[in-house]
Amino acid sequence: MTAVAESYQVQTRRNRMGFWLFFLSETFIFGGLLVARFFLWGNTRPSMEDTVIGPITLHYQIIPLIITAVLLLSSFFMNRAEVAIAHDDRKTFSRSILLTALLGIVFFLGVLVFEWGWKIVDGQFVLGRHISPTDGVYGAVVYGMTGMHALHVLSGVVMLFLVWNLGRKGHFSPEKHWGVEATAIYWHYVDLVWVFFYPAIYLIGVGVHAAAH
Amino acid sequence: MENLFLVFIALPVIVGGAVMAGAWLLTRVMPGDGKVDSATVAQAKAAVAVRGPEYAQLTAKRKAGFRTGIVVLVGLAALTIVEFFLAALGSVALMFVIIILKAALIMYFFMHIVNVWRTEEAH
Repeated sequence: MTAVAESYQVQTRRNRMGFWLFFLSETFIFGGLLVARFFLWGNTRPSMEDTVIGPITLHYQIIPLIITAVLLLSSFFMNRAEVAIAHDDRKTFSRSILLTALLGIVFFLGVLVFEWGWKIVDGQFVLGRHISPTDGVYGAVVYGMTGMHALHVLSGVVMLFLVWNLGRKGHFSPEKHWGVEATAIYWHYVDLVWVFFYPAIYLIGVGVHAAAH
Repeated sequence: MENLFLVFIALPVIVGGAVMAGAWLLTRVMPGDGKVDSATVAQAKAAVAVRGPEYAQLTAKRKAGFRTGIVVLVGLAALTIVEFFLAALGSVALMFVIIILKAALIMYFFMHIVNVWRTEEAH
């Protein structure tokens, strides 16, 4: 092994350690939100409205399940992109990265449009299809958790496009692709957070009407 | 309404802009990601065609990696469906077990957590 390759490996190990320490600090943020959910909601959760899309009415838990599936699928494609670049398959890398970004955008819009109910009424942005951010502890926790997570998804999508663009220009190789690995780990972390948030917001507890609180 | 605008539009735009700027800066300083000239790209592409057995081995490893990804995805999907139906039964304890299983799958297979304390490069 050449000295240059060895120094790259040493540097990558350091980068990796630093990156995981960053995730540890992120865990405190998301963990705090999760604790807030259980402290404020206990064994209850807000009862949400069913989603009506044209002639179809979807049970209120179907949309979160769909967007969860979308995020899981995006993680699969991210992993595929990382494996591809690590084994010199640039075409699969490019396609998988773009698919990951696309699925990330679908997830982001799914949260904003279906869960937040973000729309323009009389020239003003109006939030709150299920509940609004000002609906007591329920609104605060729902918007705090989904908002913080959606912001991470958005920044992840930006990183995906940056890495895709670098790959398109010929950067990265099987030996040197820390940029791709870091983006992949970040994206999977966003998925990991949702693994905890999804049941905490939508599944655990008894549904109660938020307006009553 | 002004407060909502500040919290849900202005703040995300400012933070998002800062993240984009940060990510752009990050790509400028990432090791091994310096400018690559067209000759180097052409050389790398040509090497793929003439690698022979080495490339065949690389292809086999890549396919194995893809297969692992598919198995993990199927596992995560199955656990999510079970979790969804467990919610109807109200079994919180079992749901926590599933959450931990899903997290472990993601951290081990997708995030490669073992690489943090591994001294040799995994790939």
